[in-house]
Amino acid sequence: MKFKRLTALMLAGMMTLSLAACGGSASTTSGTSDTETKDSAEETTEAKDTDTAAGSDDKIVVWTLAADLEQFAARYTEETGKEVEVVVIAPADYPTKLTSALGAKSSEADVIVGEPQMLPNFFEAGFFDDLSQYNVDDYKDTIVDYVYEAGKDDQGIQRALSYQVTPGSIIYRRDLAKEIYGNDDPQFISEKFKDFDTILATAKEVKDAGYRIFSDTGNLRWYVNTQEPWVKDDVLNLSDTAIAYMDTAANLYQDELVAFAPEWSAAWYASMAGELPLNAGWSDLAELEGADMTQVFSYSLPSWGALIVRDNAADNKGNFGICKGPSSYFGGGTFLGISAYSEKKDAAWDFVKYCTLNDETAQWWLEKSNGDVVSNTAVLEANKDYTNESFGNQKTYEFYMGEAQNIDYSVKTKYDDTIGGFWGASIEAVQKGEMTKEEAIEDFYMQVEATFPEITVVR
Amino acid sequence: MTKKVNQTIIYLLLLLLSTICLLPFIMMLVNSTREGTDIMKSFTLIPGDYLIKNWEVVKENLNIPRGFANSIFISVLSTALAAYFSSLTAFGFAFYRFKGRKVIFTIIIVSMMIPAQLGLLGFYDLSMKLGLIDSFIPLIVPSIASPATVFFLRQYLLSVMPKSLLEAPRIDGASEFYIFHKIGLPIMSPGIATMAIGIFIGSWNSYLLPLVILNSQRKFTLPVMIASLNAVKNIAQNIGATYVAVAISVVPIIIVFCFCSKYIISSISSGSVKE
Amino acid sequence: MKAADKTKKTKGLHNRDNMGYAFIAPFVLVFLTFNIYPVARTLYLSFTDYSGFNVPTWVGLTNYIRVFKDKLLWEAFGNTVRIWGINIILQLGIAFLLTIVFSDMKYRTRGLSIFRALFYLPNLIAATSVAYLFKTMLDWKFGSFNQILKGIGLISESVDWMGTPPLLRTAVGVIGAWMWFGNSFIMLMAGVQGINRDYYEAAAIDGAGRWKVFGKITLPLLKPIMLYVAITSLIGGLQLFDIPYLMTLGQQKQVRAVNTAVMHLYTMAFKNRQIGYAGAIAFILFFIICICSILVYLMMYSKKRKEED
Repeated sequence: MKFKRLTALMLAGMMTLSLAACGGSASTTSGTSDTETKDSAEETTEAKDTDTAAGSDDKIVVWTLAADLEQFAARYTEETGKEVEVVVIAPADYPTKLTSALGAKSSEADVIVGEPQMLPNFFEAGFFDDLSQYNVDDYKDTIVDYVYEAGKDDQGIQRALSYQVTPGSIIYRRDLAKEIYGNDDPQFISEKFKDFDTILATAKEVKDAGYRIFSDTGNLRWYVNTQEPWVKDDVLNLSDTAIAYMDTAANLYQDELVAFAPEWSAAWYASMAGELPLNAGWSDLAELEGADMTQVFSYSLPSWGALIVRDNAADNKGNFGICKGPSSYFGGGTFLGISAYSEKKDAAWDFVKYCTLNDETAQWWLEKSNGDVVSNTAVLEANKDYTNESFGNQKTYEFYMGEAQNIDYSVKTKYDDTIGGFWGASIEAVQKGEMTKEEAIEDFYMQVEATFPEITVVR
Repeated sequence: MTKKVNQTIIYLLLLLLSTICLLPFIMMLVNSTREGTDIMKSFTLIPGDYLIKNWEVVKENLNIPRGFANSIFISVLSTALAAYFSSLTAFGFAFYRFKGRKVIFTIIIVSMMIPAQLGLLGFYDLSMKLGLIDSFIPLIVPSIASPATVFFLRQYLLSVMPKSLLEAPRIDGASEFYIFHKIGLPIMSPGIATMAIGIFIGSWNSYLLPLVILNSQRKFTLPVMIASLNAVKNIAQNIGATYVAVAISVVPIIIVFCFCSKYIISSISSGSVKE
Repeated sequence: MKAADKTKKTKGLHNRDNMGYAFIAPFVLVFLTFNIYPVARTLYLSFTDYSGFNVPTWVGLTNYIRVFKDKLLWEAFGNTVRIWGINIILQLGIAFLLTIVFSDMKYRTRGLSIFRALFYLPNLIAATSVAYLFKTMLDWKFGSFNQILKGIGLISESVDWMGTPPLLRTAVGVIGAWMWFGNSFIMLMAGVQGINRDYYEAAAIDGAGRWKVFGKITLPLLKPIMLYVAITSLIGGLQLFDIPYLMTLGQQKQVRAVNTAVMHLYTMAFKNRQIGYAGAIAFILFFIICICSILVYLMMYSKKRKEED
């Protein structure tokens, strides 16, 4: 009984306390907002008094998933005196965050960004403002074609632009190429990667020499829908390339022609500097002491992958070469646009223009980022003879510029991400022998049908 | 003799079952003091000396104190609101014969059968329209309407408080709300305590709603933070740190339980018998 | 004069009773806003093509028809039932055995309150933490579970619990049982304690054996509550979400293995942005749960009638 009374007392106390806290916090909040208004008012007055160029009222807010934009913003402020606040949001949270904020018509962000696979949905939702009001067409020739196309919605209205291009490439080990083939010329190696069948043959040659062609089978995924779209006129299109990818991946897996170190795993990073344990999976390297070692011959990644390889190469720096894979594609990239609910659209456009359509910024970024491939054609042209020490003095900008120009953007659909995921899962099931090829394809059809009823599946 | 043997077996089995219930928690606590590579290599119940280092890894990646504060704030406020307003509502239903009382009460009981997920989409949509996405309000205010608590407290009031108790103060001219606060609340408090613990734990553990409503890291509650552990790379590579983070979310509940287990169990028992 | 007095009196009473509205007003207001409106809104949206940001267009029964053609959903229902099956057998089985042990007159097992508390502990932990804990422990490379099993010699090779669909489903079912058997046990025990002692005394006078008493008195009187526990667990099982969702976060293949109806709903609504369709799934689910609830009601009704007999 005593205990009961005590609890009752405690509870009553807690309630009063929290109610008080509730009231207290409410008054504090209103208090802060008061001070804030006051502060900003003071700032504005101050600004007027001292004749400073910018008051905080002109400050624009950028929501991004790429930290790059912080550097752009710093330089922008330095040059123009205009303030920019950059909010970096974790990539996994970004779509949800943007969708819920802009879905509620929040005017918090002025400049918003998106990766290519997110853009169609964002466009459809009306988050990105129409850029044609700023005569964006006048700048059409400033940047690489596919980037310009990727920023258009399905009505052909320009809504986003990017400062970078992200064409695909095979990044290979020149020293191993010499050892295996006696030749490390990009042209020659490119032939070894010209289609899935050739890649399988190459994989066997590489394994015979004691190495592995890729870290894992996922390296091939980029080439699946580069020439044909996943969905054409609302009909699912399972291309021959996609099926060839499945066959090749299963072969690579079952014949153990890859090193079984997934992208982003510790072993994957380690492989860039030299040896890695076989079958490392996601394990910590310390755990795998004494395992059989091998080396990875190549990485199939977009241009940003070359920077990762270079930065983790250690003593292998300079030992890499870059060449073309089975087809040209692009992967990733940050696209900027103006939030449809921004109240400072002109200022936002000024920043977007500064980041994406300005020759000087592009040249600065190319140097500052130490090798990011910019979208600005004039700057790419100017740097095309630059020989890159990290890649055996290869002219990397020239290579990526060429690849960027080959990209066929028209094959991209808003379904690519999800459908690509389904296909990847089916391939995994076949690789591991859990399903036959026919079962896996049927399962894939079923998932597409169940998820997107508007898509017709022709078996 | 066989009785003794059988009894021993029964107790051994009960101990085994208790161990199964406790082991994961003990392992969690032990592993949070060990180095990641050690945990992968072997299993032991002897604590290591890596707790501080693990905690530092957690601290670098997640703002646990912040998540803790958010969770406390939301849970305490929700519990207080639910306790106060449920008592108020229960009092209203128990002692006033107003029109439509039965209909409203029936609707409330039927609503207890509606699965939470059913309203989730509409709830999200509503929060979006009200501009309450990424705000604590949709996580706190709805607890004012807790049908199960109202139901329980009304039954409780009817069984412990005779209506005649209201007469004396009424004659003295006390207002109805005054009577509620001075007489109703104190009488109900053991019942309130029972329900409050459950509401607190439910709110503390709630995952789906905060996941859908909250977007920014600094507003995340502990469960949402724990769920985002997967995405944080340094932590995924350091298992010890993962255990520390999980332990931090579990320990407060165990402490609450140590003090209040009697109440929790009696509320479950009463729930099953009353019905 | 008298009549006037009377009116005044009833009016006063009436006014006081109307104070009840003031007492329940905050509740009703919040209830309508946050409980009823969202459900009504979901119902409306389930007849539209709402994606979260478009203007909803009425599409009639399209979404409901789609539910019956959605093979992934039926697969999810299949998973739900399989997981629930494992869960309920263990959960009720253990709880039932414990009830027998603690209600047995001969052995008079002690420590009920301590054991009850210990068994209930897993139910208090946030699903996120439980999921994360088990996910880590079941990892085939460095999970403690494999290490323990190897240590006591039950297995020689690491088992890939997370990567093998039937094992993963079993694991989720067992985790559910682990979380809920204490709860079932407490309810069953409360049921036993609620049985009138007179029955037992009468049986003792008749000289009935322990097992006979159990079979003839305890079991029949416990049956309704067991059914109640089973069906409420079915309702809970149909809403299974947290544990399988969190354990398989981002692992497409694992998700498929334990994809439940509510997980499917969640993916449709928040990943594929098909909120209208997800609403239809929610209502079909509600319909199924309603049927179960009616069963619970009928069962409790028959229990009451028996007691009255």
